[in-house]
Amino acid sequence: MARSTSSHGRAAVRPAPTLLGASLLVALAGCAGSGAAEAPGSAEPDAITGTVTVFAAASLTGTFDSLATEFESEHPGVRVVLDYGGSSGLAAQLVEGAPADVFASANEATMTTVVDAGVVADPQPFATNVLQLVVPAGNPAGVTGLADLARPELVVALCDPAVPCGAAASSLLELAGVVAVPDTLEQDVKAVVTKVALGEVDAALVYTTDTIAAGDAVEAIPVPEADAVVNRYLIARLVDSANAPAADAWVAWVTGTHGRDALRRAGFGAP
Amino acid sequence: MLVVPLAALVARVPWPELPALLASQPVLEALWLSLATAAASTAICLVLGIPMAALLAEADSWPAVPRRLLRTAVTIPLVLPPVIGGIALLMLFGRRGILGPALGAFGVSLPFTTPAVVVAQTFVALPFLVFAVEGALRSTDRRFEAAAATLGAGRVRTFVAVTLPAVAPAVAAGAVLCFTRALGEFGATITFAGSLPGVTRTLPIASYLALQSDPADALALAVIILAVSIAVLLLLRDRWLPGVVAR
Amino acid sequence: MDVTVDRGGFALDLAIDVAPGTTTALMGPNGAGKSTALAAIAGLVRPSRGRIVIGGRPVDDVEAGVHLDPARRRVGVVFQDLLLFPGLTVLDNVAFAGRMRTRSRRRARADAAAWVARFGLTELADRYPAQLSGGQAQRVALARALAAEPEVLLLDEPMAALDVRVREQSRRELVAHLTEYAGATLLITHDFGDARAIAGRGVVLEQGRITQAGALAELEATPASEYVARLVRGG
Repeated sequence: MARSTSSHGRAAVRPAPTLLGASLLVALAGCAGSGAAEAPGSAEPDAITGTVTVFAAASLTGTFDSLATEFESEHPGVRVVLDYGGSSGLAAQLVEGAPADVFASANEATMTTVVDAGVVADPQPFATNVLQLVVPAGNPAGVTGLADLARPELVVALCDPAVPCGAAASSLLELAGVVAVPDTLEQDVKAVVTKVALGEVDAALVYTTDTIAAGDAVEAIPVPEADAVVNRYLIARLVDSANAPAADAWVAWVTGTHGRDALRRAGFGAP
Repeated sequence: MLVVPLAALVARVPWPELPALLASQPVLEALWLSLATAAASTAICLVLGIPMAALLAEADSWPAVPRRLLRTAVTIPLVLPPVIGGIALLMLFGRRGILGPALGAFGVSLPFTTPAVVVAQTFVALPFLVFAVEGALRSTDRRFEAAAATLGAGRVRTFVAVTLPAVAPAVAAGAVLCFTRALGEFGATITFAGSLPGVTRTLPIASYLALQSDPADALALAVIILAVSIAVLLLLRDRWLPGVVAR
Repeated sequence: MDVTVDRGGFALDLAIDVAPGTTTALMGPNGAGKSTALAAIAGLVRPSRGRIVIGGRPVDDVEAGVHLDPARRRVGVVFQDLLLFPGLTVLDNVAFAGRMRTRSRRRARADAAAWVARFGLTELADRYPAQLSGGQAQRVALARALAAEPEVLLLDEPMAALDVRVREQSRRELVAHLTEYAGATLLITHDFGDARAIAGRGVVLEQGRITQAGALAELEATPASEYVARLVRGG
């Protein structure tokens, strides 16, 4: 892990393959958009400036923060503004015309609604995430597997089926043949993790990445069935982005080796 | 600035589908839960808030430190983000909270129950009642209390029979504010009580969740919250009139 | 009664004796201490020296450490601005006083209805004070004070708020009600006409001290001070 970080540190100094990828995309965007007049000029990496507003699924919080810091030191003229939330809520805001440049969603269904609305085109997969059964540190309720979610005396939290982590939880429970008895159906995965970390909830289904981010406050219980339900994360630039070159550079940064590596460290799977 | 966003919201409501949306089981469940919990928390706010208001109105003669502490304590729920209020309630009543284990010994667990919704709503709505009533108490003429004393009334009876009727319009106004604030409560409720249909999923929570999947449903729910709030405000306006006329 | 009150550099010294069934007028210029005397007798301020005795019972005895709450000293007051409770109807205002006699709300309301009838207020029983004329409000205030069955009745400038036109009638009414009242009445006024119509004796207070006390005729015949002389002339 340490070795790979330092190798990327070097990569950031000289023109890395990632950057080439970025300039390629920029040229493409130029063609599609305003007629390619400026496309050759923007092939120079430092030509991109301004602000990139990124709407990202809540589960990407820590990873995108550190990726943004690296991206900004690579492109001193660019500032990345990150707005995290439940994917579905962000999608609803985008459909309503919220000003953003990039959208990263935690599942395909959500991205589809935004594509159908004509807000983005051509989303690219960049990571996957699976669910995990989590309990507060020390596992006070003695939870051993998915079947415990059906125990009425336990306090069980799930995401609401309306949001991606809840949809995934429903699929997983169905697959495992468990009828869970939830005490609360939360609106986003971070709210679930918080309640587990506070010890108010005995067991919950959250993303693997959230378990890692929560640190010592929670414990993961292995669930063999979990690998069968995979959430695919997609990223796309908005059609109406006010800063398409920088937005495309950010998308390339996330989908490139830097992004892939940071996502892997946070517990995401390869796309 | 106050009316335009609401007008925009109303303009987007899918009116033809509205009756069907309103009659659906989840919506009725959330509506009933919201009305019942908001009524309960308003009642608790009245019981707790009126004595607190009386205390605050008299606190001028206290030393500065306890007086300011009391005022700050009453004000905090007003300025605190409701989500933080919800976490504070978990710290108090939660399993690992200060009172939670003691309650657990009696087999009582508050979080994720309907009473938890009432507690969360009371927490955020109480200052509205306290400040409305305190303001009115401060502007009452203390000589009426002297007059009551010469008629043989003790402090409690004077307060109940003389002072309270004099501030009845403010109590009603405070209760209405309290009720509508409780009705709109979201952050503290979802943090402390969670979100389970029929148990803790009130209208605002249902509305927020619907926004994630079906904006039309969300708008319908929003219209209900708006309609109920406006109805309550209009209804109680007439109720204040006797008190206003008596002034 | 002997009263000494020291309040904020203002000293009041008086000894007044009012027999049951009689009315004494307490007169004096503004700032002479009439209102302070009333507040002391009602128990709303604590005297710094002296005694106040009502019906043979000391309600204030500073040396002996006695101070009875206003609620326990059976002093009825008609305040200068009446202080009818604005949130209560006429009947409830009067019933409020009766509640100290009886624990039963029904009894209190029945008693109050009798008082209201006696003062000719039955038709106004459900009105709020803001809906009353000055003369009506004054009658309610008197009914309320008497409904508490006080041993001492204090009237603080009862005519001050009234029109000249209704004043004469109001005086007659007051006298009629007072003749039925068995307790001692202290009328506070700066109007000798009021005193002559309502009271038998007079006490004049100037700068916190009594300058003259006696039958009103005596005050008229031999005024003891410049102020008394002007007072009796109606100036």
